[in-house]
Amino acid sequence: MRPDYIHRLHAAKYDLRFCLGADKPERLRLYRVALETAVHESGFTGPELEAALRRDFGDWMKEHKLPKPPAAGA
Amino acid sequence: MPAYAVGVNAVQQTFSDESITQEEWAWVNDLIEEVRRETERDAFTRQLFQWDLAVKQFRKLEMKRMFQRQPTPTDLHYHGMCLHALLAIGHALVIDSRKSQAPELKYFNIHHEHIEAYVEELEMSLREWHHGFTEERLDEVRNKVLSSAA
Repeated sequence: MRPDYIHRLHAAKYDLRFCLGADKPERLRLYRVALETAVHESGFTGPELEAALRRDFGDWMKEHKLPKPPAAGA
Repeated sequence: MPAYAVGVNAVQQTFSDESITQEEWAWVNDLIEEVRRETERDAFTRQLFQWDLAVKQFRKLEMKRMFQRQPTPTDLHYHGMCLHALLAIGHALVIDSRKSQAPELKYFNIHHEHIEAYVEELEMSLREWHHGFTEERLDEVRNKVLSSAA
């Protein structure tokens, strides 16, 4: 069971990964905000959370039946 | 025409020819410089688009091999190798995009912040998959975080 801040972190990562190139800087900013919140809430470091939850991101995508990545340009 | 007048004319002609010659060389030199700049810009734009294409293909394979199934040691090896290669080119493109401000980038509405964000995203993947944490530590983090909502 995921806490809300992990849902938000995965959602921010999904948006960053699959957005168009022109949106990347803003999506990256929002991802950093979500990661900072997760660090604050969990007490773990950003790199620890990123490494530990990489597989959970894949599971989260499957559970939400999110579409596969569109072709994104730089 | 007196003899001294012929001499003066000859000197003037020499100066005039010298001036024209310098202007001609300068013009050709400017032309070469412009060709060089255009070649650099073309090379930069071409490399940027090829890199972007490579990143897209990398992400597709990463999704298939790393997220949709358990990656094998071979997957992890190639994933790391490709990431490092993409990052090396990406960092060079960020530096070039800062100094060139190529008109082609403006034409395609690309700013160096976009390229920086792409590179940062690749750095993120490096932190996720190729780090120094032990599996025990990652299990501990996962267990505590994912059970905290219950």
